Amino acid sequence: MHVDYPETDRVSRRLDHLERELTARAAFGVPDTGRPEGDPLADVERAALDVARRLARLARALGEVELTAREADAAHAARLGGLGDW
Amino acid sequence: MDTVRSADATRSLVVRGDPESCRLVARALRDLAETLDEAAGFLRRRADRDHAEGRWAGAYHAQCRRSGNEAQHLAARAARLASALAALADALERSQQVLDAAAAIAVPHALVVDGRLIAPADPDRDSPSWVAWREADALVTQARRIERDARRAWADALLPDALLPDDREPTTPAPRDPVPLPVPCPPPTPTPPRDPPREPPRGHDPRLGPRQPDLDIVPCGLRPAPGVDLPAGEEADRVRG
Repeated sequence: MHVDYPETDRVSRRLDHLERELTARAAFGVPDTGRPEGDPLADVERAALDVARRLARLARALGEVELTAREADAAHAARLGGLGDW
Repeated sequence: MDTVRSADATRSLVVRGDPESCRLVARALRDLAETLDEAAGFLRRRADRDHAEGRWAGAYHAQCRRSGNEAQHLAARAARLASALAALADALERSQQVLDAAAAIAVPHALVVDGRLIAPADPDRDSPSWVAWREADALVTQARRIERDARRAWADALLPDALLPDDREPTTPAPRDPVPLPVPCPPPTPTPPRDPPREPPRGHDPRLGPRQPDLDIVPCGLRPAPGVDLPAGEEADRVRG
């Protein structure tokens, strides 16, 4: 497995940023159209929040991938160090 | 055609709804559409080319593609609704202007009641108040037509459309087989049974169809299948072992 840490980190941060922006913009309020139609745009808001949640999950998953790969690299490096002593 | 209206044929001079509120929400919807567009582009670029290699990349790319398609579709819907809402705001305002013009004709003849209604004049065809009533009545009719057409267009825009494009890809869900990260891990544990079918969470839009499984990228303790690229540490273990 190859993980490009700086790239992973960059993508993860971007996803986080988009998720925050989407969450904020999904709260667009209810227009007063003069008709008792409740919140006619509730489905759009729900769907936007759903996309935002997916972005957050992707960012989290990337973070976990990066962490795991770093640990694997560190373990490998430690083993190589041991071989050097030997 | 002159028709004699009865005394209860008063006509309202009020348009319900707040155009400015509609414009505010329309602008917010446009902003939302822009962010969704941006997210969709980013996700699609991630799905097409990325730094990801290894088994987890398959699930990652599939999820990027799927979320990107959803974001793109929702962006289009939000943009359409923004346009329709802005058009409704304009129509409400135009309708109110026409009603104001009707009121301006009716006021000198004392046909306006409480500033909100026009009452019919006595049906004397030659009287100035009857002529004024006829003109004002025609304007109110025109205003109501503008309002009605705009409300119909808004109602049409609200009609649910599929939130997912028909040609979305992939048509199959993201790989459901566990895609474990091939990392050095504790001894293999028995694979847990598949998750029982989950109830769709509250708030899930049924038009989205069955909810797809969440991203399967989770660092778990499963060893990779033969032929799968191993991290260097585990490969070294194997060679030494």
